[in-house]
Amino acid sequence: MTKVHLGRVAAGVAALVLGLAGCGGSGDDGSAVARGTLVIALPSQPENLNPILSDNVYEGNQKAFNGLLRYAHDLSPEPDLASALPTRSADGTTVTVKLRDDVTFSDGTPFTAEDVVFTYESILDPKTASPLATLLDSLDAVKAIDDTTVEFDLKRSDPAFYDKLQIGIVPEHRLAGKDLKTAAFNRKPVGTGPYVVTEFQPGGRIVEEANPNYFRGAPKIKRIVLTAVPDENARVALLEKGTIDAAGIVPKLAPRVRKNPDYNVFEVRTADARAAALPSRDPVLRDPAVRRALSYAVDREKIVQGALAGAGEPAYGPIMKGHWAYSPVAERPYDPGEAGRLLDAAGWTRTGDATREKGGRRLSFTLMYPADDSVRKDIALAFVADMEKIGVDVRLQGLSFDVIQTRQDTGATEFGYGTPYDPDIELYTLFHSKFADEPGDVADTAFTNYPRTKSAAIDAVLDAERSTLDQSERKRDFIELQKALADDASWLWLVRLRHIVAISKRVKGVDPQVEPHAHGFSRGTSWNIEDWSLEPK
Amino acid sequence: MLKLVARRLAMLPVILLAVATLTYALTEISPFDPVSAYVGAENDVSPERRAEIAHAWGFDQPVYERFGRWLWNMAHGDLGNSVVAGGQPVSSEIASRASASIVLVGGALALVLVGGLIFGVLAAAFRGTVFDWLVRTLCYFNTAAPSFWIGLLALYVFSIELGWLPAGGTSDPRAIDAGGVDLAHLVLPMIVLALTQYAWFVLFVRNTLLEVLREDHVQFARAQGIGEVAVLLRHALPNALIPFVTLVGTTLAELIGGTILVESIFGWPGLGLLALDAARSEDIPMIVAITLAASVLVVLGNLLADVLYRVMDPRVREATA
Repeated sequence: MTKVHLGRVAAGVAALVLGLAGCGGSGDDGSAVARGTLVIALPSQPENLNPILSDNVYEGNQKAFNGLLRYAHDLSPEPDLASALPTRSADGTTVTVKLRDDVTFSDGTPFTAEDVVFTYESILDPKTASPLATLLDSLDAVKAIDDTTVEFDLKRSDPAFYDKLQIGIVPEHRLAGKDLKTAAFNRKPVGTGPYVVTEFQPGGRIVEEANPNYFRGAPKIKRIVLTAVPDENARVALLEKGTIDAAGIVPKLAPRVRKNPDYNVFEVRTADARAAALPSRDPVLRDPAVRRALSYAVDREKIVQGALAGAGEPAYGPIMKGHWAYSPVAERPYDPGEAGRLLDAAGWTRTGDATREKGGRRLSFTLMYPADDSVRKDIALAFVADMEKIGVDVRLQGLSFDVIQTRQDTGATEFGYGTPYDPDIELYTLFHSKFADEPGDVADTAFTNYPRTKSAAIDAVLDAERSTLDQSERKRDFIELQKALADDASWLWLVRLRHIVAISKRVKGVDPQVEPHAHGFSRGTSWNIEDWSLEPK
Repeated sequence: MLKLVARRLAMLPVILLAVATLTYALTEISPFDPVSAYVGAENDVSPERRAEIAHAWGFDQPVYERFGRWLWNMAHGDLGNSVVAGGQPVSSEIASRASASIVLVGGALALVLVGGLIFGVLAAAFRGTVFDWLVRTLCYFNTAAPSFWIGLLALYVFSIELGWLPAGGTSDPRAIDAGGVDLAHLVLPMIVLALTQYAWFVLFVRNTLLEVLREDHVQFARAQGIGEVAVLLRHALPNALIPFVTLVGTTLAELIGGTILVESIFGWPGLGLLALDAARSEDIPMIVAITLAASVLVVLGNLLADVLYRVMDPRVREATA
C-alpha cells in the first residue's frame, strides 16, 4: 500500500515540477521517436569533436571529417580527400599531396588546399594547445601550391608520415582568427564527412545525421545517436531492452549477450596490449635480472582464458602478431622454474614459501592500475597469483592516473598501448631515452617513456628505423628493437585484447578493422559505418 | 523584513568571494595535473609539448595571478572557459545543464516535503502502533544505508533486473528532441535523491507533532470535544510546521550536494555530473563556477526559509519588526 501511494505522489509531484520548469516530457506516448535511427552506447562522451584538439587522431573525427588519407580494411593507406597516394621526394623530406576537387564542407563551402594548410599549421601552433603536436614533430612547414596541391616540408625523412595524413581536415573559413581552444566549433563541428553533427547535449547524447551531399554519396543510415553509458552492466541491460543497438561489452558479460538472438557479437582483433611498466628507479625493479625473470613467470594463456574470457592472445612486445614488423624474438614460454633459476642466479633467494630476498630487501613491489577498469583489474589479479608462485610479492592498488603519475618511480603500472599502424608513431616516444625526463623536471608528468628507460641499444635502433624509407631495412631494425626491449625488460607485456562489440542483427555491412588501443569512432568496428544499412524493426 | 532580505543579499558577494578564494586554494594544493586531464593518460605528448599546453591555458602561472585574472573577468561578467568541456564558456555549459538538475532537485524536494509531511503525520497519529514502528524502522534503515548503495541497488533492481524503468539518461536516446525530461527516466533518480533526506523529515515531523500534541492548547482543544483528526491537522500541525520550514533551507543544500552522487549513478546530465567531471579533470573555472552557483542557491534557500519563518510565526515577526 505504501508503495502505490509513494508512486502516485512521485508521479504527481514530478508532473507538477516538469510543468513549472517548462520541460515537456516526450516519452509519454512513445510517438516522438525517430525511425531509422542507430543508437550506439559509448563508455563516455567525447568532450571535443574538433579533430585537431582531440587527444588521439581517431577520437575527434566522429565521421564528420575526412583526412587526406584513410586506412583500407587491411590498414593500407588509401586516398580519402587526396585524389591519389602522395608522392615523396628522393630524400624523403618533401611529401606532395594532390587533392580531390569535388568536395564541399557540410555548410556548402568548397574544400581546398588552404584548409589543409590551416589544419596542420594550427596543430603546430603552441597557442592551439593541440595534443597532436608531438605526432607532427617531423613537420617543418606546409604550403598550398595551388587549390588542389599541398606540399609538406619535413625536417627529416619520416617513414610514418602517411599515418599522420589521416587527421581530419577542418574548414579554415570557420576557424581562422579564432581561439581554437575555446571555439564553439569544438562541439558544433563542420566537416566534409559522411555524417553531420546536429546535436551535442553535454553529458547526454550526440546526434549525427547523414550528409546528403557527401562526396562518396549519402550514407544509408540516416541518423546515428551516440549516448554515454559508463556502467558496463547497464550497457548490456540497455542492449537487452533494445534501447541501444550497439555497444562495447566486457569479456565476462559476452556469454550473456551471445545468447540473445537479436545481436551479433564481434570479437575485433586489436593491437591493444596490456603491459606493466617496470620503472628503472624502483628499489627492486631497477635490477634487469628481476625484470627479465618475471616474463617467464606470467601464464599469459591463463590470463587470456580467465580475465579475458578467451577474447585475446598472449603479448610479448609492443608489436602485434601478424604485423609486418613483428618478430617472435621476445616470446617466452610459461616456465616458472626458469624464472626461479634466473632470480636465484641474481641473488634473490628464497627459503620455503617465503618471499624472495636479497641483502635483507624483500622482492616486493606494487602494481597500480586505473581503478575504474575492471578488465585491467582482473588481469592484475591473475598476475599477482603468478608472481606469488615464484616468491615475488605484488600488492595491487587501483588508483586514478592522476595519482599513479605522482608515483612514477616506485612500483609497476599496468598500461594499455598498441597501434596496428606504423610502429614508429607510438614506439619512438614510448622507448627513446629523449622522452625520459628526469624526476623533478618541470614537465615530469609525461606518459612518454614512463619507466625512464635509458638504453643506448634501443635508442640506436629507433633512430635507425626512422632514418630510412626502405621497409625491409626497417623490418630488420624493428626485429632488433624487439630483441633489445626484451633484454631491457622495462615493460612486461602480458596480453593483447580483442574488443567485444555487440551490434543489432538489423545492422548490415559490419566488417571490423583491426583496432589500435586509442580507438575512436572512425576506427575499428565503425570505420565503415557510412556503408552500413539498418533493417526496419 | 525588507531590511533582513537586503542585509542578507548584501552579504552574498562577500560569501561568494570567500567561497571562490577557498576553492582556488583547494585546487592549488590538490595533486592533480590539469595537463594530464586535458591530454588524457597513455598519450604520446612530449614533455616540451606539455609545457606549451600548460602555457597556452595559463596553468603555469602562479595561483594569485590566475585568481586575480579570474576575479577581473568575473567582475566583467565572464566566468571563463572550461578546459575540458571542449573549451566552451562555463556559463553556457552550466546553463545548458541546469534544467536537468532543477527538475531533479525540485522533484526530490517536493517529494521530501509532501512525503515527509504525510508519513510524519500518520506516524504521529498512529503512534505506538505497528504502522508507526514500521515507518520509524524504515527511516532508521534509510538513514543508516549510504545513498550511493541505495542508488545502485535501485538501478540494478528496477532498471537492470526487473527492467521496469529506464537505466539512465533523461530521455530515450531515440527521441527526436532531447531537450525534454522523460517522466519514466525521472522517477528513479528523483526518488533516490529524495530518500537521502526523506527519513530526517519524517522523523522530524513525527517528533515535533508529538511534542506539540502534549502542549496545553492541544489538550484544551481535546477537552472542548474536538475530534482527534481536527486536533491533529488544525491545532497541532500548524505549530509543528514552523521549525519544519527552517529545515527546508538546509535540505535544499543537502539535495544539491546529493545530485553529484545520484546524477553519476543514473547518468543524469545535470550539474552534479558536471561537477564530478570537472573535479576529476581539474577543470578549475568549471569547479569554481559550480561551487559559486551552489552557494548562491544555498544562501537564497536559507533566506527564503527565514522569510517564511517570519511570515508564519507571529512571535518572530514581532520580535524582528
